[in-house]
Amino acid sequence: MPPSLKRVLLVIGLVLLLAAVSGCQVTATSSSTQDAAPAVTVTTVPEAKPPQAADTAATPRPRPTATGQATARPKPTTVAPAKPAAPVEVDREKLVRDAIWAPSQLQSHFEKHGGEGPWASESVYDASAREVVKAGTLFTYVDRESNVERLGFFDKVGNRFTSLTRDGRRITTHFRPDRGEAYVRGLYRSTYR
Amino acid sequence: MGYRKDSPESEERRVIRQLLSRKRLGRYEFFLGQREGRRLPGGLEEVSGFVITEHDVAYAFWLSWDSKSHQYVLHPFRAVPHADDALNDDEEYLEARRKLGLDPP
Repeated sequence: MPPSLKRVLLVIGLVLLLAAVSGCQVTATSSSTQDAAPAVTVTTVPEAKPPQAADTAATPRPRPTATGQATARPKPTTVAPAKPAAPVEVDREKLVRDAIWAPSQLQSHFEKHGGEGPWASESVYDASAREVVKAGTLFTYVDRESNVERLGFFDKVGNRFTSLTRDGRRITTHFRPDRGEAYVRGLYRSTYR
Repeated sequence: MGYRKDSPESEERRVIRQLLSRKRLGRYEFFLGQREGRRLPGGLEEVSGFVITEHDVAYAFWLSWDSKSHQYVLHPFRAVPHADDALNDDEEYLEARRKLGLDPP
């Protein structure tokens, strides 16, 4: 082996050794003499970065508008799940005897609903309301206009509905629902079954 | 008394508020509201109820339908004379007064 070739082989050996120690990738390419004197190119292979969790957190979130609603990604409306109402126990006889109408409400309710049933007068209409309290199915619901719980009484056979305030002191209405049982079942948070 | 804060405002109540705003009552609170079981021609349900204003005047109202103008109206809409005497034991009335900062009757 000629001395020049020995030097070339020695250099190549040293370069390969250094590359192995420093963790670099070594690519051998041919030069003018393909077998005897290959050129050596050393390139550094960058390490792959792990995905950064911060990328998603950095995504700008939709800003709330003046009304507090997010524009691009609105939050779902949070309405408290309906809770089963506590069992209601009432003294029906007391309600029938003591419950009263709010001022002028017997008159105005009779004017509005009097034609729905065989109610010839305010007193007959009032008696019908109390009859339903006495014998109808008791349930509770929430009146969405006042946002308060009410006592409901429904006479399925006669399709008559009477509503009282939760304390049972006041009759708030009496009528024949146009959709019958489906109406009282569909009242907001109705416990009618 | 069982007041609930999580009931979303109904379309009926929104319309009632619109109609009340035309009457320039100032601040007010609803009480003894009641759905009346009949659909009006406009699609909403008839509603009766009361409001008490910051000026300590109570009104009874009905959400009704005016067949001539084809619009919702509050009819009848009338002041409740001597409301304090008639309603002084009504919890919803007292609560509405409290919300408005009115003294107990």
